[in-house]
Amino acid sequence: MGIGLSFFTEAVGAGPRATMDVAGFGMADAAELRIHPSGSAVLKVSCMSQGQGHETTFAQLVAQELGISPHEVDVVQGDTDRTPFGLGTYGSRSTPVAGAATVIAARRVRDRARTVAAALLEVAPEDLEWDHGRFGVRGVPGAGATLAEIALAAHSDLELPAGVEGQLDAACVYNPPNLTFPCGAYVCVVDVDTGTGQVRVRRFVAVDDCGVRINPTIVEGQIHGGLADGVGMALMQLMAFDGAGNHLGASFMDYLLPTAKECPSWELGETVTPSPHHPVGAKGIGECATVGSPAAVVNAVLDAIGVRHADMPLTPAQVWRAMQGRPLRNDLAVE
Amino acid sequence: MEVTLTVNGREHTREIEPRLLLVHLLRDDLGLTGTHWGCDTSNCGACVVWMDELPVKSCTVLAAMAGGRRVRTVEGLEGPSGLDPVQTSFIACHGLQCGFCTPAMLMTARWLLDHDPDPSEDDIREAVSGVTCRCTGYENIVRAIRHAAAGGSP
Amino acid sequence: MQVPAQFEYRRATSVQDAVALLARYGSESRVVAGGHSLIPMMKLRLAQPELLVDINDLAELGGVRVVDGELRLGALLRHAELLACAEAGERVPVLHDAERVIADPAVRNRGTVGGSVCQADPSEDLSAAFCALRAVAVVRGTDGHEREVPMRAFFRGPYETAVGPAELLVELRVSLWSTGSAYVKVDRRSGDWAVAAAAAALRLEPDGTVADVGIGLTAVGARGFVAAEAEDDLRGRAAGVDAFARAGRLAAAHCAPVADQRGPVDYKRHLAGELTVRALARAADRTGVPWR
Ligand SMILES: Cc1cc2nc3c(=O)[nH]c(=O)nc-3n(C[C@H](O)[C@H](O)[C@H](O)COP(=O)(O)OP(=O)(O)OC[C@H]3O[C@@H](n4cnc5c(N)ncnc54)[C@H](O)[C@@H]3O)c2cc1C
Ligand code: FES
Ligand code: FES
Repeated sequence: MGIGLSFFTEAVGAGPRATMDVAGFGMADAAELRIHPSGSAVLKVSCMSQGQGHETTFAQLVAQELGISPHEVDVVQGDTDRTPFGLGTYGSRSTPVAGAATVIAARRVRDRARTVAAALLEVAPEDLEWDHGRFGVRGVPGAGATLAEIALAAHSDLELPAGVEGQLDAACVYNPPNLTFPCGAYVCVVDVDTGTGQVRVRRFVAVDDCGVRINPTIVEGQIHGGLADGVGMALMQLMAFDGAGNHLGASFMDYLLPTAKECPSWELGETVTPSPHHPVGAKGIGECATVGSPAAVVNAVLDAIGVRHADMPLTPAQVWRAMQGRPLRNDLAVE
Repeated sequence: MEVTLTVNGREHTREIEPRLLLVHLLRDDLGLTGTHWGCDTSNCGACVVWMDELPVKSCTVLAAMAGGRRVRTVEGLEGPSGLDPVQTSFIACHGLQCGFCTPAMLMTARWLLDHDPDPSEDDIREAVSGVTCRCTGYENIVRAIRHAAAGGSP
Repeated sequence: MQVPAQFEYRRATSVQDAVALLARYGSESRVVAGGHSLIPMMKLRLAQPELLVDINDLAELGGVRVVDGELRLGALLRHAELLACAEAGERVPVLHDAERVIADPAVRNRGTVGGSVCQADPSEDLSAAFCALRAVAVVRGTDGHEREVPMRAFFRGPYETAVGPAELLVELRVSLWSTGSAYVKVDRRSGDWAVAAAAAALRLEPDGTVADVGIGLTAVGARGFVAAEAEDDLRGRAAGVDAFARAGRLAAAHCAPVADQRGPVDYKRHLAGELTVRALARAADRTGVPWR
């Protein structure tokens, strides 16, 4: 039996664009938000979900800012004919960057809604108070307009103040002031069969701090998947080549993914330290668990066999070799 | 050659090459793209469907071999009263992310619960061990199947 | 996308029909049972038969039963069916041990016992198990004539067996001589082929003497999947830690593993010994005879 710990920080989101780029492209992402006359919203973002749940998380961001139901927010993504351009979804950056753009676009919509509401209610914009989906007139109980009413007015023949065009929409190209820094502390418990080198992950406790959790269920799902990935990296995944340069892990027969049997039931915990670099204090989470988990698993195996270092992946053969005092894998090609 | 098979209760006859795999017949000829295809080595399990009431990897069955047999795919899971409890449970428990493994997971889960209405966590992990999931770490898949076993209400 | 090369497909209506088809097409024809070894090989074009003879309709090739003190397994018995047979698990637990670690449940629903041994893959789990049990293969040819081939003479080399081009394996017979048996496998991950595995079958006298023993090894280049030297050494000795350790050393010394991604030669040799010892110990426990 061995216990492994890992503590990690992932630098996530990237920015400012002047100091961080990909091949000359600044690491910006964008959002465009439009409120229909009905009060429902269409959000177009420059990132693309492959199952990370942007449709839910980003709708919640808009809903939270505008006081409408997430069900009323249609999230459009994945086609730059219809969406703004951006660097997209990878490296845990969608919520830190495109998510931030979404929040700021929503706040801009709210600002415009205030101007429209002021015209509609014939009061000064400063006399309006935002209260969860509605601008009320300060000191006049009952007087006010909901976002839907304001949206309809913005599309109507209402006389708007000079300089304000009609309709209710806004865009944001977000230039991150800084990275966000999700971090975590992981503990892994393994059993090692010292006669065969086989490893079984008995328990895995992961405490993550990804700032404010917009949708805790989705956040946990991201962590679960990353932990499984880490077990795969730590124990079974190898890019080996034979003497002729053929890749020996070119199919799932040899590039192994953990199955349900190699994964324990993940135990999660959290701390919440809002990021000062993000409009709602969120940080990235998509990749965090893949950063922290391989080290925890490897450390647990090393603890079990009393060795300071062994090259990954810790296949049964590699664990056995490490126990024989041959922990290095300087023979990435098959002997 | 000609092959006739029953898919989700409906009989289909098609002219095929003997080398056509069942997964491609389902997806390309019958348009049942709910069944996924994820590898060439019979390892990923994304293609699991039922053949004669047993979950099998449809990429490793010739369409010709399925002739005269009954195939059930994820499209045939929904009943007259709506989604199957395993489907509602996967929704309720966030049992899917990208959805690539999901049809195979659902068909495997339905079969498991038909044969063992109260499976332990280990039984569930064993049952789905032929289907790999890249997203969920299996946690919420196991939860969803337990949830379905417990009645599957949302 | 990998698809097999072109071939002709025929569905056999009887064993006789299958054998006749095989005879007509000669060495370019192949039987397909579960297809879970053959179809992947055909996708990779490692096999390119011109005719496939599908035997899945032949109910006479299915089933498992005990007859005349023998366990008889039809060639078309699916892995999952063998695993579901409680009597087989009780009488020869090595078969259930092995079946539990062969591939995954979906593959086991389709793959057959007969296909496994006819595939003769050097890493096939059942090959070692049947060799340890000294099972007998029943093979039927064109004239309906059946011949019996001892499992230990069945494998002619990697992917080569004693089944002739116009013959069909119809049954595997396991005489119930062993009173305890076990299978132990090391794999890189569940569902993966063995890095190494050992099967042991034992018959112990009431005083713990080894009356008879069978030891099978897979994936380590043991001749015919058998650790014959270890068996010879153990027979007649008192079952015990030392005797089993000797057997393990002999098994390791006489196998010939090759290095691959599953591990280097010295590791696999180590496993051959270690797993032999473990399989013997578990088999001895199952005899119910006290040993040590
Ligand atoms: C993903 C995956 C993982 C696997 N993992 C393992 C594992 O861990 N351990 C293991 O042991 N196996 C494993 N297998 C192999 C599996 O057990 C196969 O089902 C089995 O090896 C072959 O059985 P089959 O019925 O599918 O044979 P088929 O593929 O139909 O046939 C195999 C060969 O046997 C011949 N044949 C079949 N039946 C007969 C017969 N009655 N008479 C004469 N010739 C016949 C065929 O012509 C062919 O040459 C795995 C397979 C897959 C796809
Ligand atoms: S497609 Fe991967 S197992 Fe069938
Ligand atoms: S949900 Fe993406 S593979 Fe399982």
